[in-house]
Amino acid sequence: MGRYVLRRALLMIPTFFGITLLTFAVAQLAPGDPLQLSAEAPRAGQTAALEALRHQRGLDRPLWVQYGRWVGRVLSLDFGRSLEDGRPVLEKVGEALPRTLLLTTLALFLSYLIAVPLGAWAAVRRDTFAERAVTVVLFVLYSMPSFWVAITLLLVLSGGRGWAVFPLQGLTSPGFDQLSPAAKVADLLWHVALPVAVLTYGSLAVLSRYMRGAMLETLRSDFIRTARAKGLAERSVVFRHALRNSLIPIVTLLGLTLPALVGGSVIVERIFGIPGMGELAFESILNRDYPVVMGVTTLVALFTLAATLLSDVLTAAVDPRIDLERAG
Amino acid sequence: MVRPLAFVLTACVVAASGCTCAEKTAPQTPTIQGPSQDWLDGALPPSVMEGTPKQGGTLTIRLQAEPKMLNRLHDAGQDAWAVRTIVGPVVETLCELDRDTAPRYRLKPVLAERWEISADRRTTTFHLRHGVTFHDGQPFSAKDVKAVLDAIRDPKQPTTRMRGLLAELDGYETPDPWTVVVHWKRPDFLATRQLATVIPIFPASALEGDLDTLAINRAPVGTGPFRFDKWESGRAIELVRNETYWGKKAHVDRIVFRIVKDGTVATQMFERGAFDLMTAIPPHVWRGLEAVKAENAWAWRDYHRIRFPENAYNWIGFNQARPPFGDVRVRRALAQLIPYDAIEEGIYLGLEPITTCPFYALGPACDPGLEAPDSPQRLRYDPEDAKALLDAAGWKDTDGDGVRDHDGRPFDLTFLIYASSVNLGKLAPVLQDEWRKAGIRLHVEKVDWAVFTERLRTHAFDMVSLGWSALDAEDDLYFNFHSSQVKDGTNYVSYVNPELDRLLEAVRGEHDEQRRIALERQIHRLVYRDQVYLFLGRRSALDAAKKTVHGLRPAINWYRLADLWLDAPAPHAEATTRATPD
Repeated sequence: MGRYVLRRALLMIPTFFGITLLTFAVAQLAPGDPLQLSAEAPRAGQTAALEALRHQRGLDRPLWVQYGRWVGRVLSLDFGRSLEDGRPVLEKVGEALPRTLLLTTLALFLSYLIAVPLGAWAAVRRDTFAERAVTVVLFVLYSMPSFWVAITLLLVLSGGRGWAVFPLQGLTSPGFDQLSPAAKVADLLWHVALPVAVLTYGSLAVLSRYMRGAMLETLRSDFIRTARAKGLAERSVVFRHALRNSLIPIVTLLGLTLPALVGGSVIVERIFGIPGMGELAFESILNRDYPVVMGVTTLVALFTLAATLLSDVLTAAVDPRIDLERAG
Repeated sequence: MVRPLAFVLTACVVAASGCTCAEKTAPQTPTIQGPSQDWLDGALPPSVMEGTPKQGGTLTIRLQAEPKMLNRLHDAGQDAWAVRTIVGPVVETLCELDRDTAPRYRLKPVLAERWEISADRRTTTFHLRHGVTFHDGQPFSAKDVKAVLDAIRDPKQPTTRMRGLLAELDGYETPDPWTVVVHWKRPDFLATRQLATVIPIFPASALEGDLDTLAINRAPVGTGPFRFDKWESGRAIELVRNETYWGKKAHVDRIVFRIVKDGTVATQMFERGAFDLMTAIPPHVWRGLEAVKAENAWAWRDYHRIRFPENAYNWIGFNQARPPFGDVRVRRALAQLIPYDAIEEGIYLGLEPITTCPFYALGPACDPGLEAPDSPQRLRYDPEDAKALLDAAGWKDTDGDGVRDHDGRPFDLTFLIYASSVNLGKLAPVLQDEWRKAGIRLHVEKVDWAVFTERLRTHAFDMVSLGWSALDAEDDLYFNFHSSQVKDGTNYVSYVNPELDRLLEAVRGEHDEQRRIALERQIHRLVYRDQVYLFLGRRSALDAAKKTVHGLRPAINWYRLADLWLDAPAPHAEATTRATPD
């Protein structure tokens, strides 16, 4: 196991450089120029001044030199400064990441919490009227665009003419710092309720369908028939034998959803006024703020690589039939 | 797991249909007192300025965009509106625009007590105010003004925008701590005004080092009636009253600028009473609130509505270096193929009257004979006249395919628009339809803002639409229309006309006001005659203020926040959780 993990970790290094090099090239080759953008309306004679600035910031060097410099700095954990406002990239990411993580981990947790039992239930009760009804509802949810749901929820549950149960914007109320720890948690939960709901509802259909499929397959397998044949109670068959064995694909899926945790969602963040990683990535791409684009990409790339590894290891952990040492 | 979900869903459905039913069956309130005429006009009643100012309270203002930084010297601090509204009350300038003299907006002393301009107009001497201290406790003197000018002139610093503004600056010296003498390369009527009203005065010590990483970029230090308190990224920027201000002290204790980018969300917060001053109301919301029905009553009852004309207009421009757009007949024909009335009502909801003038419309620079809405000199929507002009210019449909052509080339053009513009997204299909009927094929190309600006600069377009806006009433328009500004200036449309060049140069050096106004009106007439731009609407600020806010006086450079006071200053809304709407 240890050797396998090490080998996989080493393989991640070229993959990582491949990802960052590609992002670097795509970002730089896209039309538009960060300095021109911030100078906005140029005046005659300003071109020379901008050229001087471009030179000073190394933006006039060949791409491979710029990439080399970037790698050199990143290896010493210096992600540079935003071309937009001069703040360190890590500071901007450090501001956005916790907000995004709060939303996405809650949403992920919640969607698994709902989808796994729901999928198992759907498999056991398949083709009943109730199961079909739930499937329809889930697919309706799945097909509703999140910006529309987010705005609708805001109008109905937070709007001036709606019920105004939830706050409209942000993560905390004014005066948050003075609250007791319990009140802080309550305040946060109250603020994230709607955004987390929006992030959760869409993935329910996918996850529960996976779970249902896995469960159905398990229920059809020989060991379940054996378990039933030896007279085990149906409860025990479903919960102790079938459910646990159906979790394998779900665990693999978990690994694949992890990168989305740090990526965030532009739509949800913008509508609910919680500027996280999605908004940061979106804005930096629009502004051609290369250092920030690269910082965000690197983080997401690292997370993706780690998550793939983790999901392989986890799959082995839940399924004793998989032996990574020999298979690898 | 299933039942709660189904329950939530049905609950929503019932509630929603319940609402509509209630609405339909509820008996109409027999007499709803509709909004007043002032309210409809967006005019503030005189009572706003009356009464004895009360001290205290927190004023919450909606901010629709988050500035990148708060240092106006830096190229990234050029989001003029946001930076000026927030930083204006914190970091002062040598002079300010005097709102008592609107619409002329003369200079009024701030950090400069008085100033003299030499007879040859090439030297300005500022005499600075004594006894002023910065928020960090340092005394203000000429060394600070010098440090700011040094930073602007340093070619290694990202201050290209300010350097461009002070292009005519030849040199400066500080003979004593209370005097700054500025020399100009040429006598330019705008130079002193721009230096005095735009350049923010920071303490010299705050400008030491790399401008990219200065503390004042995010936490400005100045001499103003408010001091900067904090900036929570994406959430709010807060100012507190400067208790040791040298001038008349501000009334409110604290100003909170709440950053809410999304218009729909901001509207909901507005309805829930989250803002004392709601800014940038979306036009459809503005119009929607006028309907006389009970659910709008809160707006008429609790808010003043404020519509104030800005120095801002939208225009359509053609790349005149590309045929056939260099032909004035073609431009005039296209101008007559714009259904102005339909656009004014349908797209701008009657809030942006069509203009003819590139200058500040409330000032004297526009020729009233042309700018008047009923002026006979204005081009109107007139397809027949337009078609005749196109025929005369040689663009006829010779092959009978419904599209005009000339020398075997069909009349095809591409309208380059940036993806984030809602209004252009509506305008493009209207023009497509109109122009197709006149035998012109209009294609639309949407690009993002970064690409758009690059295409503008490199003149890689046929047709664009943009808006210009300024926070001052005076402008010489040199940069927009002079032929020298085609190469790397803002003469994006590549208009070259020696006659206009001569006028633009003359205006800059003309210090006599009456003669300058005469020149400006000549420029207005020429630009309109040649349809250098096809002018669209003139923009207004659409705001609303709670009736508890007093001292509101909109001007070209926004409200003066130090003058505002609150009726019943609420104690700091701290430590209250659920009661507050955010």
